[in-house]
Amino acid sequence: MAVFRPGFTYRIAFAIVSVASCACSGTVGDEIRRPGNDTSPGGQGGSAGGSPQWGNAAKELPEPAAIATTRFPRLTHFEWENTVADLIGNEDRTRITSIARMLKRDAVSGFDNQNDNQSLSIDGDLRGDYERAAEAIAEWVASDATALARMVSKNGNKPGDRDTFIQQFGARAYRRPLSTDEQNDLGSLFDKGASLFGSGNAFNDGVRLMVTLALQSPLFLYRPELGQAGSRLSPHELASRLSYALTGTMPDAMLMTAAADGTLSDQATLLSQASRLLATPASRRLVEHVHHQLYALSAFDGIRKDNTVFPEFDVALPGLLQRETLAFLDGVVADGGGLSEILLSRKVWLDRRTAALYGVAGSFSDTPSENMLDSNERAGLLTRLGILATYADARNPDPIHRGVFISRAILCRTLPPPADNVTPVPTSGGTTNRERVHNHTGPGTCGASCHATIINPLGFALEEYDAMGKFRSTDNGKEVDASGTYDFGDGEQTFQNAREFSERLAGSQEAHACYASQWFSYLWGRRIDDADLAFLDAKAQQSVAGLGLVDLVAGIVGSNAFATRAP
Amino acid sequence: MKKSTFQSNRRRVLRGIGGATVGLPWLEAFSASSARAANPVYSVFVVGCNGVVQNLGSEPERFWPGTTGTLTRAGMLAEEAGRATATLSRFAERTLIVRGVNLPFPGGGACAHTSGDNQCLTAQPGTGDTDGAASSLAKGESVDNRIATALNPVGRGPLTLHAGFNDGGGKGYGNPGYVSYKAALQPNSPESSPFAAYTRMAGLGSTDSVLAQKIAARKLSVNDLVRKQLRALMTEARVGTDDKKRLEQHLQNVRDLEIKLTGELPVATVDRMKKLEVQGSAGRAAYHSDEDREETVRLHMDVIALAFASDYTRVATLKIGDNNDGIKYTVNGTTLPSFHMISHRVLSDGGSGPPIPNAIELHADIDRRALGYFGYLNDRLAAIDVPGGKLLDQCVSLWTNQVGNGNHDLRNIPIVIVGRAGGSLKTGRFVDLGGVKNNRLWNTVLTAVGVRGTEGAPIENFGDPTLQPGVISDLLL
Repeated sequence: MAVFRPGFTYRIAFAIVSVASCACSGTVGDEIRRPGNDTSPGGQGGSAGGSPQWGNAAKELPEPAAIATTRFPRLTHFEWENTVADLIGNEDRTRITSIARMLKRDAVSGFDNQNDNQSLSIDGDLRGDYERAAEAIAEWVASDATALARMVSKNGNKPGDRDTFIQQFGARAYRRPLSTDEQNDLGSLFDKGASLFGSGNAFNDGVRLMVTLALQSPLFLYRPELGQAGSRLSPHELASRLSYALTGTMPDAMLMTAAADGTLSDQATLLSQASRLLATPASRRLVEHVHHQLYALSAFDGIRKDNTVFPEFDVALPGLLQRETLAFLDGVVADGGGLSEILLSRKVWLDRRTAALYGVAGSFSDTPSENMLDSNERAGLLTRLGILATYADARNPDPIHRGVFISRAILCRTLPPPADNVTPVPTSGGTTNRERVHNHTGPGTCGASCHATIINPLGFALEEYDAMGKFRSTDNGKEVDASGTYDFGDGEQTFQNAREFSERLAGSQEAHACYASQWFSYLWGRRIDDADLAFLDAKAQQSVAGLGLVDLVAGIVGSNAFATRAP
Repeated sequence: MKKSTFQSNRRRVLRGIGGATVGLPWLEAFSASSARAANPVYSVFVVGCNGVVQNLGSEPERFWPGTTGTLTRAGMLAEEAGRATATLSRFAERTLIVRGVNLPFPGGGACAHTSGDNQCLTAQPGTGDTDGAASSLAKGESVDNRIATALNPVGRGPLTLHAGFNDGGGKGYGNPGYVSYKAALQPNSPESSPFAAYTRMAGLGSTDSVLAQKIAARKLSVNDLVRKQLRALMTEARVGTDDKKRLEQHLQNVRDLEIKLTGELPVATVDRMKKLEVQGSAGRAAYHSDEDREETVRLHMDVIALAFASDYTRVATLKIGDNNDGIKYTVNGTTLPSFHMISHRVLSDGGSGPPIPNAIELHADIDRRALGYFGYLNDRLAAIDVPGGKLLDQCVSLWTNQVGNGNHDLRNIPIVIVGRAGGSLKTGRFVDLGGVKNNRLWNTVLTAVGVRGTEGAPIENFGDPTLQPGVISDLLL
């Protein structure tokens, strides 16, 4: 074999990497999405007790930036699964979920629907997966009489009626009416079914081939937005954008009607449709999906405890903690709450095991029931078992990672990377967990600039909860110190414990701006731009004043920019 | 149907994967590219996490061989107790161990593990943490992807596999630790399930040809319409360049019949894969669980061997671990602290915590275990006959790690290559390059596997453009 031999070589360069030192620069906060100090022009108040503020008031708000995004956002796998279920009118989610699992996971960083950087593209593997999944769904509905009848009735109400099926099913799959050409294309494909499958039932075979095509069509897999930059989206494009943002699935019949009759072009109709959609079960599922990512609930799967310290732990527990956390977040949203309630509400859904861990007396079964936690011990999300146990090691709480979690998930702060060089804490560095961590990373140490001021105080606020999340007043025989001081961007705040800390957070505009920008990012499928900040600041102010999540979301999709095709 | 351009006389027999049989991909969409040489070279990149125990700073040397120069089986065996690389002594003559390769961008603004993942196969910096912890992405293509573009059928990326806790798509630390990138900020999504990876490859393997013709006809009629729709969208006046590329990629991958293997893994192996599909101890599919890690790694390696043997792909990447590797091994009935904590020598994922006694020895054991898995892969590749020898000798089978050691040092990244790349690599040696940046290693590997630039010139500028270009000629024959 001919071997290539390079004609010249460079001298090898010796690159000496400086040995890791205490690299924490202390320059935190450059990228914090923090509301400005200017107090609200227009004085947007909360919606508590009154009519929603996002109606006409939305016109007074600053508008989000017109950032160019792909004209072909691809369905996420979550959306694919929901859409397939709705399109074929089938309730058997288990089966659809198992087919959806064929789809190779997307490599995205951030929310699953971030379409920037073309992350949701279709490579060879995924294309093949879509094909196999489409064939599996088509085979199923064509061979199962009940499933077929349900799908046909959902798409035309006339079993055996080729033309109606093509027209109705096609329009629902493409989420817009078909052109004559498209109708003809689908018709001739339908007619090939009989010879290509030969089941003896030409209608069934036609349906099977059409479903196979529909689920691989770019008009199904993407949500094309083809209109002129700067103009309002077409009614059907807008219906899809709205529907996927609020419900994670295709537009329902009422939304399609509003698109077809043109009324969706009117912003007031859009707002009332949004309001209607936000009350649907699909929207509830979407909110859960976003919160699941926002608070990294899948990290609960990694909870492991030392059974000699925590005999109550077993591998089933992380799943129960996930269920408890999601039930809590759902409850907050259902009650009209927003970030403040997420941080402060003591409502809880307890089963036998979580009740024991929270120390709530009473009789509980394996089915969760609504209850209230003790105001002397607990507040909202940050004082719940799941978060506390996740950011702890097998025996001790981990204030550093609890602090990092709060910095990132609640405050959206961008932290500098940890030092390259990490050294162990001497076990003799203090009596309590807090003392050991403090002595190792606090003022006067190498970690002073980041840990002492930025990270540790947040984590120390949760020191009254052990590595399992159980409440404790002493650590190693000494009284727990969960007090602290922290600057959330508007001056130093002090707190004695996690309940007070949660209240400070709930009152801080920084936390509300973070929550608003996370939701904004998901609903738009893109990252935040500086030009969005004025809009988000206004939303944050409303949120501090009590705006619930449903109204926050409606206010974001109710902006004019949301209905406009960006350049 | 397109006529195959694949050489139908190149049958292979795969032995050593428990009696698997492999014939040809029976309908091939390979383009007649000059890069598809008669004796193709394959490459596989296995990337671990958390570094190895080596003498950087104050820790003892437990990884590299004792002296540079020729590697012999006897010499490596003599070091078996103290050096992890000795685990591979049976491949001594086919092995090239390279010390002194550094990642080019220390302190890249991300978690050090992520920073290592970003750079290790790309020689590009990362974006830094932009959206929560560990979300940094690499700013350029990875070497495996470059190889796939040059040597694989059009549109087929590297076979990208993963054995660890997370699936793709998680926020923050909840991601699988991407190392393979199709372009800046675009990771190749890794497959965590051996069964899914195998199914994607094997597909119609056992289908008889009459039925296959029918299936092909159905696919053709569906695909014709899909192509028509894609082309119509691409010609829409307002569609920009990036979106056109996006649709073009999709269009390229619409195949009338996927390349499928006629070969299959034995039923017993496939059954083992299926067992990993059920829920494991972590509440996720078993292939994500610690207990099934070794089984998952081995089955992924079976998939890689099959994929090479049947020429499904010329290049594969296997990431073991996630952003870091938090696996808790159980040894003699005792569950150890997580590997990540062991690598930091303390009972914490952060910098502080009680010391783990004997952490260095525990880590060195894990290094030996990791190279043991790598040995399994090389055994599989060495069991496959190709014209004139064994498949392993046509390979660059490379083991590396996201960081150098448990202290996140980005120097002395472990590089262990087994296989001669068809005779291009000078193997049987341990060399110390003394601090060369990894872009030059990848230039060298690209050269060894036969990737060329325009007009047949060698690739000398892979990676970040500010880095010194060139290959490391001392590694090449």
